[in-house]
Amino acid sequence: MAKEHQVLVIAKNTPGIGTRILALFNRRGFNVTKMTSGITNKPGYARITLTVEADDRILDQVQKQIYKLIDVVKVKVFEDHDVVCRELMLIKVKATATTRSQIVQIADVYRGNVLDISPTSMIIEVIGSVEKLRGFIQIMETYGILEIAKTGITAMSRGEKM
Amino acid sequence: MSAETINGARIVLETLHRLGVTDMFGYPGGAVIPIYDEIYSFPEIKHYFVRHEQGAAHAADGYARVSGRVGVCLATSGPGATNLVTGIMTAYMDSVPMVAITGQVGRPFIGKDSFQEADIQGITMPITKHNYLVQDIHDLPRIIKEAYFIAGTGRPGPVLIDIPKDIQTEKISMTEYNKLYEVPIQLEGYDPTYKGHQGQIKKAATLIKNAKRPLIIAGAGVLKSGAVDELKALAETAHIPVTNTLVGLGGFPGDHELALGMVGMHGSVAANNSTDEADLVIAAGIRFHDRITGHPDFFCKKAKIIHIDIDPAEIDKNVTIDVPIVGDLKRVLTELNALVEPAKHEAWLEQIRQWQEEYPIVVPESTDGELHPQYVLSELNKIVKDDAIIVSDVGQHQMWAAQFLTHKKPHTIVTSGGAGTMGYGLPAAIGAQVGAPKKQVVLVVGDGGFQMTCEELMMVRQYNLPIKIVIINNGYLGMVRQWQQIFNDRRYSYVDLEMSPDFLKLADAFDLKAARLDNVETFNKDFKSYITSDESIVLDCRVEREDNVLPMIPAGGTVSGMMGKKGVL
Repeated sequence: MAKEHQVLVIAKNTPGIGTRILALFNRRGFNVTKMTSGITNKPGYARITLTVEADDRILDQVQKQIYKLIDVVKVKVFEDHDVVCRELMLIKVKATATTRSQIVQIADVYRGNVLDISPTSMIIEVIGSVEKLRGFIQIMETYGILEIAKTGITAMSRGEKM
Repeated sequence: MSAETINGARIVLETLHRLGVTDMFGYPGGAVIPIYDEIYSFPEIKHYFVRHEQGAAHAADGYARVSGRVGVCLATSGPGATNLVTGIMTAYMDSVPMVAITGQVGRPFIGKDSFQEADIQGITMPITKHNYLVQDIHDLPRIIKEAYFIAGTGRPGPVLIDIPKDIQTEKISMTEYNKLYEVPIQLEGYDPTYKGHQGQIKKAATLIKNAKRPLIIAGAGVLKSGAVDELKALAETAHIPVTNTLVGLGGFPGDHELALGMVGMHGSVAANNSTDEADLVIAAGIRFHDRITGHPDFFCKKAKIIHIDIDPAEIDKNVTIDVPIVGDLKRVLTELNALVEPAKHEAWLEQIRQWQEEYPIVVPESTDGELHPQYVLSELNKIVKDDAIIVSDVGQHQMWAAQFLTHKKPHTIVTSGGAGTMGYGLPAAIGAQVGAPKKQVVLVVGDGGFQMTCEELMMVRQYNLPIKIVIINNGYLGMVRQWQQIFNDRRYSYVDLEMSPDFLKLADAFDLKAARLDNVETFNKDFKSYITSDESIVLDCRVEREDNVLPMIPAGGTVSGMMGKKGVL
């Protein structure tokens, strides 16, 4: 059964490393839905978190094929119970003088931050799990969503080990 | 006195030379003029001048396959580089070690759609084991060393290095170059597994001990790992029949009593029936290609499968494996052989012998003096030396060459298996002859594929290569025609070549000897002397037009759906 997995890739931060990984997914028919990429505490390395939809067999291939890329140093699939996943979302909603305070109250419940207020709209930043963001989006729909920007998931395993 | 300096172009050659490169195949162009300027005064590396860059890549490939060394090819930027692409992809599909060097426009011109600019690094990303765009001359010695190392180790493959022209002309001091050259290779993300897992090897040995109907399917991994003796020892000790994949032919002596010949779409009935009936399959250095497995869900259905391969990504890729062993085949088989006990499987071998007797691969009888392609190949088999290198192009003749030659020795077959690249044959034969100058090289090629790269005939003449070129000329793109006959109700859409050049005149234009063999009588009279002569020759063998390669398992089919087991449809 295909389900979502978080795959961690540590790679040498060479030009085109993102292209190499994404092109690999494309040509092998693997399904990647989200990708976040950034630097890490070790200079010269990129840390990439991929959200992959795959069954066990394909997931096995995903790991092995990515690891074949010469610049890739480590590949790991996070166990569901052993990982902290976060996504950052910016959401722009319609807000009038009457609805503004309601929205701020709801955002507070979600530990969101208000980043911008205009006479007719607001931008709120929310960080959390996929479910939490989805919940917040649902509520905001009643006020009217103008824009959503999400970063994709970044993840880290619990405990001392990588 | 100023310190001695070295420019980027010379760094390329000097580094290749230090790595042991003695030959390269290339074609000049604007963005590699500095490299060519240095080749001019670099006698340690012999440069072979192809007539089309595709030929350079195929020649480097043929060279690598027969010699086991890394093949090197060189081309200019833009179209020069893109002309290498088919050859690089061909090498990639068959895991052939190759370093392809391309010139690139100078760094200030990159990204400006400059003259003869192409993003060859981007283009070749999916068809190389790794590739580089050099950004700094100080990286050049490291990159060339790494590329050579990556190409030839682990699962071999092509590596491309794209070098901007201004880096080729830039200079550093010789002292600095030497220092950079001495830095050991450090590739954190590249560490092939050579030693097999002990527990898995023990499991494999137990399976072998308990098997009643074991079968070895041996691929090109046997040749690449140099595991020919170890494979033979395993087969003989445990009394296991061996079938080879197309590119694995020669990895087990074709005349051995345990040899079943080729497996797969056009494999022997005995080999394919064995895959269906075996209770244990030892897959040694194969990758379960669809031309081998047919429908993967029904392949080796009754068997447990032990898969030994150096590439972990091949495990469970196409077929689910019971006992995977990742490692170098030679090492794994050595350890496995130490655990395997002598056995006999007479009943199983008897069953296989029955299949062999009942379904031999047959040469059609000539009723009216007509020449059959199968006859040409079976006669060739009687004439050539045991270690002769048989190069084939792609199509019907390729399959007949695989079926009718005995393939007694390793590294005697050069053919594009995974990629199926028409036009591969002639340039690959040239590379093979350069890589094995003392050996007899015979190219078997169709009239279609020959026309794709026949410009390289000039090299045969220029370098006096004694290659025997046997054109199996049926006036058709025969393999496509065969499929159209079987699957498209004989709608022979655009497979009749209708017009072809006169191959004798063509050979003459390249100052090569040629002859036409269009019936059994002239063939029997002259063929042997042409093949055994010391000179190259182009032989236009006019054969029966509509012979089919049989038996055949249709694409995605199963052994039970094998057609033409008796040699007729």
